[in-house]
Amino acid sequence: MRRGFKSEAERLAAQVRTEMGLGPYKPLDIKALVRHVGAQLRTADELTSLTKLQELEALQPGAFSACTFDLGTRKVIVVSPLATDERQRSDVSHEASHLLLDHKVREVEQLGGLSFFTCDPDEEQEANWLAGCLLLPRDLLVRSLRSGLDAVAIAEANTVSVQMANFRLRATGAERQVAAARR
Amino acid sequence: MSDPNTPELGGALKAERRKRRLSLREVSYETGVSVNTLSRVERGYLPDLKNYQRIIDWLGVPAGTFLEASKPESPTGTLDLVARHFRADPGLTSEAAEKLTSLVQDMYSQLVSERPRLAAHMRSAQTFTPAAGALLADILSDMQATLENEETR
Repeated sequence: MRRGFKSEAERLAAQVRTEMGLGPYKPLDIKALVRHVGAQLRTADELTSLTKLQELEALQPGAFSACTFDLGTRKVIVVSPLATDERQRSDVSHEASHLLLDHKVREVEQLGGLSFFTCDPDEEQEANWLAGCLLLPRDLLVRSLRSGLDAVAIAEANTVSVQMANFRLRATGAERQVAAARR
Repeated sequence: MSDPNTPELGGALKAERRKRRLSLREVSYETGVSVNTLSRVERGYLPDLKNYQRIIDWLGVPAGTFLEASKPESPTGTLDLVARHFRADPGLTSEAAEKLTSLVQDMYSQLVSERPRLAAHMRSAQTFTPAAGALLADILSDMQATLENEETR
């Protein structure tokens, strides 16, 4: 990730939340986020057969979580219906983050009977980081810890995975800050 | 569907690595492809195009080595089929069949649209088994087609 991006992302997430009328403390309204980035939200089984999605999941678990199509006139975020609510919220935030960061969609190359899915690892990392900032802003984490919530309770209150809550508590330094204040 | 006569990238990578007596970590250092991705490729997974190219370069083989020869697709197929039907029709003279074929060819080339390129952002695995990759491409293609049909409605 390029230098300075993490702080930029925290600021961008705070700005987006303010524009959405959420502020730093409310759980992220995922549908409102999708509207805010000018996209539509669909589940994959509305656009292809559920059987194919289940077959893919059986062939390679986690092979597909979400994607975004740019159709010129509209952008559509598509999420797998097979994932948990927590995972879907994370996936949709990740896709919305690509749009906020103006990352361009990439073509799937079909060559010689093989399909290649190109992705830019830097862009994926940036979208991951921004999605975390949108779902769990640093201020929300600090306030939650101060009010006695732990990672599990924070995860539950914001419909994210405990793994995501733990990651953000460590990555933002919120855990250290609150622990130091208590000493 | 992968062609059983097409050599496999994973097998070739493993064989070359063993021939040069290198660990995955050493190959990772030489290619810039992560150890995890190299390991998965050796187990039959397909990497993204950038990593595919890096591995091909390291192996020192032509880029098409692990790809099936490309096959012509429609519209040629459709037009050939129509022309054959006209030629086989006992009610048509050979001249009439050729004339009809030519007319249909003209109309077809005017009306047929280029197949849209499949493009999307994806949150998914980084490497795929050939079967999962093919099915995912099919699913993405379905989704894009459904969305594009909604546009024209």
